[in-house]
Amino acid sequence: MKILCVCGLGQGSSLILRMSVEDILKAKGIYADIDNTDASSASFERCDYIITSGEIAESISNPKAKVIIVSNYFNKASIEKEISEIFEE
Amino acid sequence: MHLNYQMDTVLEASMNSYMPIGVYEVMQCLDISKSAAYLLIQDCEIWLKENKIEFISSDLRRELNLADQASRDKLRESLSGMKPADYDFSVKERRIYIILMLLRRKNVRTNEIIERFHVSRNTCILDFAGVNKLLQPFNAGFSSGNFGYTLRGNEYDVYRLCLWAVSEILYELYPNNYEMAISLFDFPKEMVENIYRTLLGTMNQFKILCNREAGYIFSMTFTLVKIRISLKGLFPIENIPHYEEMNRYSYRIRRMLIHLGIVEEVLRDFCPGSGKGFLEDSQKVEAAECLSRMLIYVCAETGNDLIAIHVNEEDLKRYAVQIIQQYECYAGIVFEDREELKNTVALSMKCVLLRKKYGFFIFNPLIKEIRKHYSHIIHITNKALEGIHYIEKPVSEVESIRFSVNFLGWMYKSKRVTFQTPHILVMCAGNAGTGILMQGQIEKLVPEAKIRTVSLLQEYSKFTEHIDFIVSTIPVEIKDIPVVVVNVFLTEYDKYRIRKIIENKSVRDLDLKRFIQDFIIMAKDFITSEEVPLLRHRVEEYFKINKAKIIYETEGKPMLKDLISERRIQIVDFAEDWRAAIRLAAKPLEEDQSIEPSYTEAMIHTVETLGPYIVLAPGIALPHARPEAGVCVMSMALMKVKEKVYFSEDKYANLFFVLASIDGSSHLDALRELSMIFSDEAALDKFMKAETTNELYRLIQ
Repeated sequence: MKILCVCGLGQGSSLILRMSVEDILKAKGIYADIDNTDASSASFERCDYIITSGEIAESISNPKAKVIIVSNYFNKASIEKEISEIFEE
Repeated sequence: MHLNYQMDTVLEASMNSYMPIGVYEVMQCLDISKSAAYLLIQDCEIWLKENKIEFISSDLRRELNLADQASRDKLRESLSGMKPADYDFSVKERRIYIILMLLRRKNVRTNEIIERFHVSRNTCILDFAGVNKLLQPFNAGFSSGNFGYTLRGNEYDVYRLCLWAVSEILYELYPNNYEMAISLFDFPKEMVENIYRTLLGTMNQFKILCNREAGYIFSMTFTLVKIRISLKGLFPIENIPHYEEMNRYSYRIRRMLIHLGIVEEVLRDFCPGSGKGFLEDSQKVEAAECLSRMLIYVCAETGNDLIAIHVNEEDLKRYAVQIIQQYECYAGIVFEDREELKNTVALSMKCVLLRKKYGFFIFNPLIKEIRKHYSHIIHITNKALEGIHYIEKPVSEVESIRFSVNFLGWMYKSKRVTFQTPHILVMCAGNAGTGILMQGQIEKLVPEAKIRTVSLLQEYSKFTEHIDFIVSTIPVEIKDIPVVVVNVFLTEYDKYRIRKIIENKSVRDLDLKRFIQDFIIMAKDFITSEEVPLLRHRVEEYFKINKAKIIYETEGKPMLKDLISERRIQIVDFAEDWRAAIRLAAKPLEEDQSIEPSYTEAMIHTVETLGPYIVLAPGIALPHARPEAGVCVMSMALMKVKEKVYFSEDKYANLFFVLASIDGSSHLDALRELSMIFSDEAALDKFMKAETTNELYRLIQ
């Protein structure tokens, strides 16, 4: 399973998001390939999920991936809720 | 469809690999454009179909994928039996073929060339001009007459030409598939195999070491020599250069060749005019002499006592020591196992001298690779060879490259010093032109580097090669590999950063070695000469234990507190709007010249274009922009605004963490810290409660 964390530039906020997601998945014992990048590359990456914020989500058009919007990059509890459908896989 | 060199390369790669060969692999391997690679794979598929070899084709992407082991075997068979008629020769291949024709026959007519290769008369004339150039180092050429072109030259030189032509074929053109080379260039397969087997079979007995390439080169050259002898007869032994000197030590080889019947084989169809049915001893000796020379030079790479007493061993060792010392001096290193190194350098010298003296050329595949990746080693080797009187004239480039192999090997052996060529990956957004532009600049900047280019992030996953660092126009992050984000046209600052990374990876070792050297020299003033090696050993041991800290230590990534100094923290009551807030927060960084005003504007611009995505959580914003927008020094700043600053209806921030990073990864640890601090929900409250900058500063320790 491949997950992409996306922000505007690919080096700041997406990284923070990625760390949060990594921690969450690790705690749940779920293995996934997690990466982070910027919005322009995100549309071309082959992945299963794209996690990002609301504004960015609009500019991404990736035919195969599911886009999940999170509201707080730091708050693990809320992220966990938002990405819960990943756990069901 | 005809096969050609490029198709063959791709097919062989496919044959030897169990993964499909895709467009990017082909591009890299043959250094061609994407569309050319695409078409090439298509051609290969057509060829495979015509030859009824099964492959799997994919709808999604163009790649070559042989079906199973049976298809691989079938492919190997087809390639091994490749006939000239089914092949499209490249210019170089054609010219070598013409040389072989000139060697094998009395006359060669242009019509034959035109028919065989389907080229125009003009091309044919150009080919002959090219061939003439190739023949020059052998003092050979051709003359034209009523029956066509005839090879001209001293017969001994012609033998050398044979050896060269075969090594070109086997090393340069078809290093992986000798059978195809043999078939394509019309060598008699049975004969070559027989001689090769015979040679191998008796190696032990005569204490000769000969690797596979050498064996094949000799066997194939042999067939050409045989034809020459039947065309031209043997020439008097006195005409063989330096015959008297060589006589003594090539005796053993001659004996072997005669004993093996190889010489008989050569002279079999040759009947001297007197009509005698048997071969005279002198004739055998003559043939054996030439062949033994060839065998010697072909095997010279392995160099055991094949090349014997002819050269003064003691002298060689002395000069070897001198060369090694000069090398160490220029490179600033000290070699281990000097005794062994001395022996191999002496041996190399022997080979070099002999080859120079008798004028045999052999091409060596290592040469291309070394020239490409280790030109700095060659440079140092050349300097080390200067002033060595034993080598009278300057050594040719090829020979000095061979020499440098010794040093290269030794440096890898000694784990303390690794003089590796930096492997740089250039990444750009999708325009291949950008990649080429960047590659050119980086080649100029770091001439010793090996550079690869990719566009679009996902191509990176195709790389199995080792990468030291990445130079990219798009901010990316790759695990464990530093990324330097630069402009397409490298600014001075970009170049500075690139060089910094390279220096970080190698200079430490040099410094250490130089230090030890200097230290020992100083110590010599205070201790006796017997004690010097002991002291040196002790010092080296000491650094070995602490080595982990010294060598290849990339600077530790800065923590939050390193980046946000107290001077960079502010508390204000309110800000007019988010733009003013960002400008205010960034001010300390502008003031200490960590960033330029253009960066502040870039941060604002990012929000304007992408939206307030920098608000990572309610109340916390991380304004940032791309490094090349104006970051001078990696830094961060913090500003707390007591009243909420709104970016949009529902997005607001009180804390502004300004981030100025210089590449894709150095700020990682600091960001991780930030993430950990704020994963605790109470953190925001704590920050909001802080009244002074000092309190805030303590919160981020």
